[in-house]
Amino acid sequence: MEVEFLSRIQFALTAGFHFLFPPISIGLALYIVIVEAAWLFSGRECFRCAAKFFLKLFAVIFAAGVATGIVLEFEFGTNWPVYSNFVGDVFGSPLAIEAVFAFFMESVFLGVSLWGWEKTGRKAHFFATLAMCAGAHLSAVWIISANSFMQTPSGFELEFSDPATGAVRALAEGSVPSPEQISSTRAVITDFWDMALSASMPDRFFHTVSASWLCGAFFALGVCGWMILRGKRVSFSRPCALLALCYAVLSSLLMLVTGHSSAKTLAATQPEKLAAFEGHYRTCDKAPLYLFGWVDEGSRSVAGVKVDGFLSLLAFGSSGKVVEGLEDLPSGEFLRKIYPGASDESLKDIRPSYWAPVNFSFQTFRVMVYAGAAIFLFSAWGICLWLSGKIFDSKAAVSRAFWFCSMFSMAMPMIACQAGWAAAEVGRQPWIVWHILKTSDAVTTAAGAMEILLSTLIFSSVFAVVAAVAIFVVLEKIRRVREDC
Amino acid sequence: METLQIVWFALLAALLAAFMVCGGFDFGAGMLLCRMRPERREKAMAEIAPFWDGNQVWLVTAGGALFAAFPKAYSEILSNMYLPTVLFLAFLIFRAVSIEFFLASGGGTWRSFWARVCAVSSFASMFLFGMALGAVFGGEALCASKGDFGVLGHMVDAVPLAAGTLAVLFCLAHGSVFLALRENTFDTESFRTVRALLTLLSAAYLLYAVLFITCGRSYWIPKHIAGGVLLSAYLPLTAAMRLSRKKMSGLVFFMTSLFAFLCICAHALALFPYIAAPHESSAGISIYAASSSETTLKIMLCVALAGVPLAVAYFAYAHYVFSKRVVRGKLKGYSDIKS
Repeated sequence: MEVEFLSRIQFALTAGFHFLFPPISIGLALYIVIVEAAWLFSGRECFRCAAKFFLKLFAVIFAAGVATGIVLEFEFGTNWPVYSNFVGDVFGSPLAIEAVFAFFMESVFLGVSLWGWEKTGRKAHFFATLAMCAGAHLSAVWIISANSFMQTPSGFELEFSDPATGAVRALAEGSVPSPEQISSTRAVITDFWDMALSASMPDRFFHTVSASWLCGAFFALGVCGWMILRGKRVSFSRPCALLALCYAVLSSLLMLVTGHSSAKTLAATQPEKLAAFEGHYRTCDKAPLYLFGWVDEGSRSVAGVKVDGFLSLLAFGSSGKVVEGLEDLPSGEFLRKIYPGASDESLKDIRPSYWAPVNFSFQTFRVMVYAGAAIFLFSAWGICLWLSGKIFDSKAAVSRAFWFCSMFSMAMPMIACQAGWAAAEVGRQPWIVWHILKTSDAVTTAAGAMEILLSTLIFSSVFAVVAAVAIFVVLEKIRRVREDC
Repeated sequence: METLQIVWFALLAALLAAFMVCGGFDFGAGMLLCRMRPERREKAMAEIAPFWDGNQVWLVTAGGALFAAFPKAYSEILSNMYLPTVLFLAFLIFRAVSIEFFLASGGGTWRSFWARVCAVSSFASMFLFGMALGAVFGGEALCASKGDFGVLGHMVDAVPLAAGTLAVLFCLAHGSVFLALRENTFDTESFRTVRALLTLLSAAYLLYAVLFITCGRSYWIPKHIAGGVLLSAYLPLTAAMRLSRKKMSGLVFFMTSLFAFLCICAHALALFPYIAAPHESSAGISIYAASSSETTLKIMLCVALAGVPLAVAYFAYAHYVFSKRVVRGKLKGYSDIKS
C-alpha cells in the first residue's frame, strides 16, 4: 500500500509538472508557424522579429518539457514494472513510434529553426518551423493514443501462460485477470489501428490539442499584452496580439465542440467516470447537472445548485434519457466476472471499491469547465473590443483592463489542462487499464518505500528548481525584447 | 520468430551506438566547458545548442524500443536499478535545461554557473549511463534485493565502474574532436586537447580490454569473436591519433564514432542472447523470454525501417545547414547568442 501510494504521488507529481509545458509548446509551435506564414505572405519584417522572439521563448519551454518528459518514459519501468510487463506489447509501440516519428522531427527542426536564421532561406526556414510544429502535434497523437488505451483498451487479447504447465492460451474476450494471474498474463496486440485509434482516442486527441492551442494562444496574447501595456516600442506587439486573439477565439470555439463530444464519448465508454464527475449516485431519468456543489461521499449526496435534466441532455442528447448512477456501476454483469455467483446484495457492498474518488473528480472537472468558460468569455471580450475599435486605445480604461488581464489569463488554460488531466486520470481509478488491470496490482515489487520516497523528494526538488529558473528566464527574455532582431 | 528477436537485439545495439556517436559529442563538449575560457565556451555552447536535443532523442528511442520489443527486460532492468535510474534522470534534467539556461542570459557569473552545472551533470549522467550499461552487461543489474538501496552497492563493481569511466573518456575525446571539427581553424590548442584526450582514452580502453578478456563472459557467440571485435576497436583509435596530427578533424570524428560503434558491437556480441546477463542470484533475461509478440515485433520493424532513415535524413539536413559557412558577413549566430 505504501509503495503504491508513494508511486502514485510520484507519478502524479512528475506527470503533472511535465504537463505544464507540452500544451504551451504545442500551441506556441502552431502560433509561430502562423506568424512566420504572415511574414512570408506579407513580407513585413516585424513578423520575422516576432517569430524569432517567440522561438526563443519556445526553446526554454520545450527544453523544460523534454527534460521532465524523459523521466516519465523511464518511470513506467522503475515504478510500474508489473504494468509495463503486462501491457508492454501494446503500450510500448505508441511510445516508440512517438520517439521515432515525432521527437526526432520536432527536436532536429527546432535546432534548425532556432539557430538557422542566417543559414537558411526564407522558405527553408518556414519549412523547418512547419516540421517542428508537425512533430509537436504528432507527439500528441501518439502519447494520447497510448493514454487512451488505458482508458478504453481495444485491439488486443489477453494471453495467459500457465506457470505450472507452460501452456499458453488466450483468455476470453472481456475477462479480468485475477491478481494471481497477472504476473503470467500479458496483453497482446491483435489489430494495431484498432489499438491506436481506440474508442476515446479521436475525441481525447482533439480535446487536448484544442486545449494546447488555447495555452499557446493565451501565452502569446499575454506576452503581447505586457508589451502593449508597458508601451514598449515593439513593432510586432499589435499585429501579433491580434493574431493571437484570432487564434484564441477559433481554438475556444473548437474547444466547445471537442469538450462536448468528449463528454458524449465518456458517457458511452466509461459511465462510472462520468457519474463520478457529476457525483451522480442514483440511476434516474432527467439527471441533474450541478453548477457547483460538494459531494458527501458518506451519505452519497451532493449539496449544491443543480439544473434538472441537463446531464441527460448533454450526455445523451435528450433530458428524458436515463443516466446510470454509481450505485448501479460497474454493472453486475461485469462485477460477476471478478466475483462469480455473487448476489445482488453483496455486489452493492463491493461496488464502492470500484469507484473513483468522487468529490475530487467532481471538483476538478468543474475547475476545468469553469476555466474553459472563463477562456471563452475572455476571448469574446477581446473580439468585442476589437470590433468597437478600442482595443489599442491606450487612453480607454477598458482596453488597459483587457491587456492587464491578458497577462494573467495565460494561467487559465494551464489550470484547465491540469484540472482536466487530473479528472481524467483520477476518474479512471481504481483501474490503470480500464476494466482490466487495477492500479494497486500494477505497482513495483522491486523498489522499497524508502527508495520511492527518496526519488520523489529528488524529483520534486529538481522540478522546483527547474520551474523557478525557467520562469525567471522566460520573463527575462520577454523583458529584454528588442526591435533590432 | 527467432529472427525477429535477433533483428531487434541488433537494432537496440544500433540505437545505443547512435546515441553514443550523436549524444557522445554534446555530452563530451558539455564536460569540457568547465575548463574553457569564456569566449571559447560561448563558441562551444553555440556549436552544440542546435543538436543536443535531437541527439538525446536517440536515447528516448532506445528506451521506447526496449519497452516495445522487450517489455520484460525494460520493466525488470529499470525497476531493479531504481536509484541509479532516478539519479541518472535527475542529472539528465539538469544537463538539458542548463544548456538553454546558459544561452538565456549574457551575464558572466550566470554563464559560468550554468556552464559548470552543464559540465557536472553531463559528467554524472554519462558516468551513470555507462555504469548502468556495464551493470546490464556484467549482470549486476538484476541482483538487487527489495528496498535496501542495495543496487548502488552492487553496481560499485569492476565492470560497471570501468564501463562508466570508458564512456566518460570516450565522450570527452569525441566532444573535443567535434569542437575542433566545427571550429575549422586548425587551431593548435584544440588539437592538443584532442590528442591528450585520445591518449587518455586509449590507455583506459587498453585497461578495459584486459578486463573484458580476462573477466568478461560470453554466452552463445564464442568469446574470442567478441574479444576480437573489441580489440579491433583499437585500429580506429590509432588512426584517430595519426589523423589528428594531420588535423583532419572530419576523419578523426569518423574514427572515434567507429570506435564507439565497435565497442558497443563487442558487448552486444558477448551478451547475446541475453539482454541482461545472468549473475549469481539471477538467471538473466534472454531475448526470447523477454520479447513481445511476433505481431508487435513486425509492426515495430516496419516503424523502424520507415522512421530511422527519416531521422537520419533530418540529422543529415541539420548538420548540412550548420556546416555551411555563413552567407552574410561574419558569424552572426555567435554575436546573437551573446545578447
